[in-house]
Amino acid sequence: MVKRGWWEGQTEALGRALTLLGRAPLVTAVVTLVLATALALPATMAWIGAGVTQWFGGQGTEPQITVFFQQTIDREEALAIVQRWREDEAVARVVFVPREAALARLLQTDLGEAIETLPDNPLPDAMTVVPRRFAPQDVAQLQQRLAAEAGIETVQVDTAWVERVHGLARAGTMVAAALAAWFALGMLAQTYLAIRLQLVAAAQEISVLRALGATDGYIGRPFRWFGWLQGLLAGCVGAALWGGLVAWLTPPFDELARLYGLGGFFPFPVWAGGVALVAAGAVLGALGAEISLRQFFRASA
Amino acid sequence: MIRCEKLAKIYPGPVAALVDLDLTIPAGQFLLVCGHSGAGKTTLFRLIAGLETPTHGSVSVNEHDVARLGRGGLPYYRRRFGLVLSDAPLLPQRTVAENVALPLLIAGVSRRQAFERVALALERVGLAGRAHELPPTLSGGEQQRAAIARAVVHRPSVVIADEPTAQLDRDNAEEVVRLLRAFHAAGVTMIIATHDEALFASVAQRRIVLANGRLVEDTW
Ligand SMILES: Nc1ncnc2c1ncn2[C@@H]1O[C@H](COP(=O)(O)OP(=O)(O)OP(=O)(O)O)[C@@H](O)[C@H]1O
Ligand SMILES: [Mg+2]
Repeated sequence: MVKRGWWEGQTEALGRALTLLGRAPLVTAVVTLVLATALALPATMAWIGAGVTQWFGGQGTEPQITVFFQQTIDREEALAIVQRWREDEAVARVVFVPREAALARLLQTDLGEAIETLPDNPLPDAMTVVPRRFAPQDVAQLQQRLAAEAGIETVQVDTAWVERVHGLARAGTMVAAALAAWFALGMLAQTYLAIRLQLVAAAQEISVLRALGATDGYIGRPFRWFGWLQGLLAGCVGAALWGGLVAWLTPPFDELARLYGLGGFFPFPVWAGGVALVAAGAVLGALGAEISLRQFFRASA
Repeated sequence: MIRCEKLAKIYPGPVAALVDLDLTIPAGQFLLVCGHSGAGKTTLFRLIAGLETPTHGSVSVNEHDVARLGRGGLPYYRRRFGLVLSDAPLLPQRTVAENVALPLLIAGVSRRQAFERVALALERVGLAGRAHELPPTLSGGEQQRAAIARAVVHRPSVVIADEPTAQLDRDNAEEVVRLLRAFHAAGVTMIIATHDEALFASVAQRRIVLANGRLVEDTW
C-alpha cells in the first residue's frame, strides 16, 4: 500500500478543520470577534503607552543637573572641569554656560532692569549636565559626585520631576503588561472552550475513529488545525481592528504632540504591531487547542 | 489465532456480562456466536476488538496479550479487525465513500489509493452508484452492505460482525451472508453473532452458545 506523506495527512486534517469552521459560520464569526477584540485592545493600549513614554523620555524632558562654579575659579579652571565631566562614564552631555551668556539671557527677562543697575556681573560660570541614565538613584549619585568636586559651588536637580516621570512610565508599562497577560489568558480560555465544544460535538465521530484504530495524533490533528486557524483568523481581524484604531487615533495624538512641541506620535510601526498580533493570535489559538485536546484525551483514556 | 483465557467482564451494577470464558479461535475460522439477548455476545466482541478492557483474564492474539499493548499500541491492534458493530456505526455526516475509506486513511494510506480501493469495495457490495450519498439516505440493507465494505476495505485478518443481518429482509440478509462467505473464502477469520443460525448454517464452521456470560455449547 502507498503510504501518504506527512503533508497529505496534514492537508486532509486541514480540510476537516475548515469544514468544522464553516459548519457554524455564525459561531466562528462571534468567537473570531471576541478573540480579535482581546488582541486589539491591549495592543492599542500598548501603542498609546509607548507613545506617551516616548514623549516623556524625549529631548527637552530629560533630567538636567545645573552646576554653578565658585566665583573664585577662573575660566581656564572651569573649562578644565567641564572637559573632565564630559569624559565621565555616567554623563551623556555637558553644556558650558559662561557667566556672560547667563547674564545676557537674564537681561531679556523681567529681572533685566534690576540687574542692569548692578556694577558687576553677579552670576557665576555654570554647566548643565545631562546624565546617561535617568533612574532617580543614578541621577542622585551623579549629583553627589558633582557636589564633591573642588571648584563647584552648588548643584541643582529637580529629582521630584525625575521620579514622577519614571513612576508614570513604570506604571504605564506594568498596566500594559498586565492587560496583555490578562487578555492572552482570556484568549487561551476562549480557544480552549471553542475546541472543547467541537470535541464534545464530535464525540461520536471520535469514538468511531478510535474503534477503527485511529491514534490520538490522528484524531487531534483537525482540532489542532482548527485552533491554529481560529487564532490566525482572530489575529488577522484583530490586526485590522488595531490598524483602524491606530489610523483613527494618530491625527489627534499627532496634533497634541505638535502643540507641545514634542514631534510626531509614532511609537512603533503599524505593520510591526499587525504582524505581532497575527502571530500572537495563531500561537495562542494553537496553545488553547493543545490544552483542550490534552485534557480531552486524558479524560477519555 | 485469538485466545481468550478466563475472560470476564463485570459492569458496574454489578452485571457479570462475561464470566471465565475460555475460547480459542484459529485463523481462518468462520465462527458463529449465538445466545439469548444479554448473553454477552457484544461484550465478547468488544473485548476481542480492544474496545473494552477485561475485568479478569486475558485476550491474546498470536500469543501476545492485548492488555500489554498500552495506550500507544492499542490503535495498531484495532486495525487488524474489520468491524460491523454498533460501537462503530457509519458516520452520518460523511459520505458512504468517506466512511468506507476511514480504515485506510487511519492507517495512513494515500488518499488516492484509498479511494481507488473504496471504489472496488463498494462495487463488490453493490453500492458503486451510492458512493457520494450520506448513509442516512440509504436503506437498511444498503447501510449494512456499506458497513461490510468498510469492514473489509483494509483487508483485515479478522472480521467481527455483530448481528449483521438484524432488521434485514430475507433477500438482503442472504446477500449479506453471501458477501461474508466470499470474504471468508479469501482467508479472513469471521466471527459473527446472530439470532438467526439457520441463515448461516451452510457457511459456519463452528458454533458457540453463550448464556448469562458463560460458554455453554461449542460445536465444530
Ligand atoms: N456498558 C455497559 N454497562 C453496563 N452493563 C452493560 C454494558 N454493556 C452490556 N451490559 C450488560 O451486559 C450484559 C451482556 O450484554 P451484551 O450486550 O454483551 O449482550 P448480547 O449477547 O450482545 O445481547 P443482544 O443479543 O441483545 O445484543 C447485559 O446484561 C447488558 O445489560
Ligand atoms: Mg449484542
